[in-house]
Amino acid sequence: MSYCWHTNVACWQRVCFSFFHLDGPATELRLGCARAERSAGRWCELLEIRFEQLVLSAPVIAVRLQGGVTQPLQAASADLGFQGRPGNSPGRFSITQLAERLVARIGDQAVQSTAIVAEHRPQYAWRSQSLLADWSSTTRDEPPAYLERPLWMLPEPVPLSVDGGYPVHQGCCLQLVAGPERLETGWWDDDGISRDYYVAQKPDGRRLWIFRNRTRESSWYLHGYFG
Amino acid sequence: MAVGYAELHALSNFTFLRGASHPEELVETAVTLGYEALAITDECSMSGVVRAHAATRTHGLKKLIIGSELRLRSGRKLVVLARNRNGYAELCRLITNARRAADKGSYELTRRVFDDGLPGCLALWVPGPDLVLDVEDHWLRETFRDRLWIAVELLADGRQHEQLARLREEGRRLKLPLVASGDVHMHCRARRVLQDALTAIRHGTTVDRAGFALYPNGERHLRPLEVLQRIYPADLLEETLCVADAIDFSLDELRYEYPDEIVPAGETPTTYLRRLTEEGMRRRWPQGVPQKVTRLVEHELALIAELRYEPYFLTVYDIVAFARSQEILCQGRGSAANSAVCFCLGITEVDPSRMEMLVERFISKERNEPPDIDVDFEHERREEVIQYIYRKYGRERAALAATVITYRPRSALRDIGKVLGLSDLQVGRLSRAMQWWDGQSIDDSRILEAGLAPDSPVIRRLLYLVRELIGFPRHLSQHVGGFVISNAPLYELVPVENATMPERTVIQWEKDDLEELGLLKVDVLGLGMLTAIRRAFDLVRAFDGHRLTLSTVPAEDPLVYDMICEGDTIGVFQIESRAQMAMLPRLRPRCYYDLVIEVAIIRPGPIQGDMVHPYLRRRNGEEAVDYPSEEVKGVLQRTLGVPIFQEQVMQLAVVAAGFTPGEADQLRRAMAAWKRRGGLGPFEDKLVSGMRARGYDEEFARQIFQQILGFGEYGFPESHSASFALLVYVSSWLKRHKPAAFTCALLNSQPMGFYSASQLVQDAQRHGVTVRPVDINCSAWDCSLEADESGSAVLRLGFRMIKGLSEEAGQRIVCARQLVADTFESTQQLCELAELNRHELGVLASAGALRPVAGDRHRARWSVAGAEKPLPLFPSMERFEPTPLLRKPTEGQDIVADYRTTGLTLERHPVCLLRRHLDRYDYVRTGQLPRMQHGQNVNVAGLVITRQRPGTASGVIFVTLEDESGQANLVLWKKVAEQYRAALLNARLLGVAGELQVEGKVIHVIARQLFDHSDLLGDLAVVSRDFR
Repeated sequence: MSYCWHTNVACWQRVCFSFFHLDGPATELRLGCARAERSAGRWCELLEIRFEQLVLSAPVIAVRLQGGVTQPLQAASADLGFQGRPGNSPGRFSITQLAERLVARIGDQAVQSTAIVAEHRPQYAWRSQSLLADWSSTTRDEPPAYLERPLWMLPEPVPLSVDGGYPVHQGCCLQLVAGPERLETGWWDDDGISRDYYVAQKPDGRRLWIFRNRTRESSWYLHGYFG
Repeated sequence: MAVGYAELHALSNFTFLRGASHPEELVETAVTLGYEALAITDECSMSGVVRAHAATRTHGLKKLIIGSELRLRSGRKLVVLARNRNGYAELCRLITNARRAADKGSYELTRRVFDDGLPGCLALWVPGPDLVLDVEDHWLRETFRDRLWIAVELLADGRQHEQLARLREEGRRLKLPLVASGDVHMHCRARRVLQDALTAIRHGTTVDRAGFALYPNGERHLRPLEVLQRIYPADLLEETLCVADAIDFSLDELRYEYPDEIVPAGETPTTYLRRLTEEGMRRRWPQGVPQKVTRLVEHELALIAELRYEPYFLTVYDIVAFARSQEILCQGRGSAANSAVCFCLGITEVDPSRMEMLVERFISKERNEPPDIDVDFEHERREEVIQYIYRKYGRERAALAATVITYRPRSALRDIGKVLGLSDLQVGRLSRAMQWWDGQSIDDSRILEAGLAPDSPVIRRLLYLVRELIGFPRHLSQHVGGFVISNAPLYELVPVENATMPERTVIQWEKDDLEELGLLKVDVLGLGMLTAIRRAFDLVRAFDGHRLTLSTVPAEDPLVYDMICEGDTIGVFQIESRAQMAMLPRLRPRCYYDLVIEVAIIRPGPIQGDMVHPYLRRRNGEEAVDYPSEEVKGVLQRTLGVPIFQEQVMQLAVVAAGFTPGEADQLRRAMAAWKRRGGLGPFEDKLVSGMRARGYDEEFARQIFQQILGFGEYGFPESHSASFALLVYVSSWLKRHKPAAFTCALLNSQPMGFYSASQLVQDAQRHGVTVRPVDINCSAWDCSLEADESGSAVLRLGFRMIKGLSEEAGQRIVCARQLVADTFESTQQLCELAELNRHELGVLASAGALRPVAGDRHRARWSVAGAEKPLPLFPSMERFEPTPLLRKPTEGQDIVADYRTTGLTLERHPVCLLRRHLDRYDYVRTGQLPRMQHGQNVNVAGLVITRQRPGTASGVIFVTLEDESGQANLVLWKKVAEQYRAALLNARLLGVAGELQVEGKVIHVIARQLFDHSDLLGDLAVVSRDFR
């Protein structure tokens, strides 16, 4: 029974406390979790952190708790195996909890996570977002498994020099080991691309992700490093 | 060494919302690139193959392969190619099974449908992204044995080398050969933009959110050989040629087999047709068959026998005989319909002795095309005929042809707007700004009107994509009545799928496709005028015992032609449109063949070819009739040297430009399709150069070509005109001699024709017919005839005229009336006996039908408010409530109520009541126009009853106004129409200042300014009928 109840329960990812005063605007305190959360203990932990910093301008005559949009509870909890019994060992907590505490302490915009975007164009295929971004709106459209993408993408492609027709990186001639992966898309905004991407290898074995434009000038660019 | 290539996996845009090129474009490009062969493999469909087949001939493709891409329920993808005629039948059956097992537009494939092994087919196994082939390999190899290949589709996704190596290994392991193919979705790379847009439409999202549903690149096009040689190892390219060589099938092999059961046992089609024809001859000419007819029949029978068309004539005969047995009026038309044989068989009522026509004009020995007979039936009873065909031949052997629904400007705009992320509001505004007369293009001013910038990048993308998308097939629908009937199950000829209507199936080919392949079809069409004529015949017989049929209406009555020459033809078949009415006083038809010409001449073909005025001048003796040569004289003599009919243009191409009959036929088909697909260019060159080489001047040649263009969509053949002319004559005769019955029949057959009930009734009144209102004690459901004191026919409006009253309620009133000797005494009595509810009583009261029991409308409404159905326990209780003193409705209120409830009034015309207001603006009555001078300035006002923008009139809009004295025809040049767009679109009562144009009896007002006076009308509900 309790299982069913759990899967159907709605819960919040964000809450907002309003502390009303006799005069002047209410003091607001917003809290957020990375995932929708229904454990009061978890909220209390975060609230504690914020209360340390909270300065009330006047006596409080009423408190309002608002929950915003409810979301279905995420069924799986990744904490299970790592944490032992929750609450009992306050010294150990998950990376998510760490992030939430950081957000509570230093602010929403200061802690970012990355998310995958369903896009063929590499420059749009990921984005950084607030940790507290509504998880239900981020895409879960995974890219095809066979796509090889570097772990480290450069914010802007860097031009490569060419020697004897081959691209050169830091003085080393690059050897093309895989490709081309042709990407021609994005015509619907002003940033469409038409490129041939290759995996290139340096003599020391390091692998780079480079491309050549199929339009206009056909010079080479470096776009990322594989791990 | 150069290696050749055959593309074995290509989708056309008949794989809806995936393929981004027309089949013709794929074929043409394959030829340009020098491919050895091209397979059209639309997903579970054969809809595009006939077009590809036709293009193969035009462009000279070496080999067209017919196949289909199939996705199994397990997700596996196969491309199945027909190796021979049997394989083609197997594939069609498979597609039919898969389609019939699923809802319209989708299909369902399980392994079981492959059970018989498809021995006549080859298959390519298209590996999925995981490149694993072992799940179903055993089953696939068992099914196709040595007819299975692994398709290697290298599409620059970054792992080509890995893919090739993996598949080579799989091939070795499974002992399957590898072959190159391209997963082609478009004919050139540039189409990837449209392909992305189609993908987004398919997924119901915008392009920027479609993500990985889009292809990463445009590689899925027909790639040049040198590119393929860089990508593929030579052995995989060579293997494509091996596969192509193993295929020996062309759609030309398809042969039609007529159903057997149309011939009784012991007879051959030839003897049976002769017997029926001879019986018919004796019936048609009981006093003895004229020699001329006998000779004609013999000649035709010999020709039919030589071409072995007997079964076709017999099939049509069978359908027509059924209709006749059910007393459903019908009439054949088309190339073979006007033969003496068809007259004898009763397929047509056009007496061959009435016209000089040779059947060879309609059935040609050289052209080897199937005869064409379309049969029109009463539109309300056509379904009975269709059900008969299904009963007789079964659903396996009879099916309707498809109609391919294509993207029109508005639907293209809507879908493209959505995928580009425009809001519903913006898309809605844009598509509303595009009015029915704006046609295919969207002006900048329209875009501005919708609040968007015409030169913004989004709008430029939008317009580019909309233009590309227009004409793309979107889905299959059923043809109005094109039946294919065959001896073997149809699914061996073409796949059959479910239609939207339950229990209906359609084949995957269009009418044009059938024609292209020379397959037989019978058009079972519905024609409103036949319904009206049959009803008029019935009314006349019931009223005065005069028994009429299509063939016994007295022929060539000068009084009828007098009426036609006046342009007095409201309600008459075909020649009632204002363009026709304007032509009649000039053309002055005096005999049957003049009507044949009249029906065909006011068409875009002759108008665009500028043939109308030369014909008129020649007919009036203002211009000499001459012919550039004897051959041309033979073709054009009957139309005074001016080509008017589609057949004449074809014949001219043969005699004057040196076309073979086959080429002329291709030209005709290209004509029918050029608006949609283009492609008349080669014919233009050939025609003009051919004619010049034979000594005709270029102007004449260009004129003929112009006419061919005009014929495009609405080409009107003499063979159809000849049949239609009979209905024109019969309906004119009825209008002239039996106007009450004729109007009554038209009202009972609405909606049909060009005019509303109101206009038909006013016209009848102008011709002296008394029209009586809907009356609870006199009306039937239908409009009917009553006799007046002198015994002549009077038209009584029926309950069907009342909006919001069901037929069932009307019938209850008629039944209940028998209980009270046709006279209800009170509203309460009516309510009880006819069991009417409050709504039904209300509409009867508002329509004035309660007048005899309750008085005027206000009193009627009061009486209705008190009437109640008796409760079971309380028998009828008349409540004697005094009727309060209600003010009588004003005439204006009555008129408004008349229009609202029945769409017409028998009171004065509404404009008559407003005349006092209108006089302030110096509007003259339309009845005064004939007495005014050409060129005079004139102001008229009236209700807007039709607006029309003919496709041929280069932006001119015609509007018809109606006032108490008649109608005025306005001409609005494009500039005026643009300037007064709002008034033109919205006005119900329109005033116009303009110039009078008088040409003989034809009067037009050329509008300069428009004024919307609709506010004077208050609530009057007048709806204009708009035509394009």
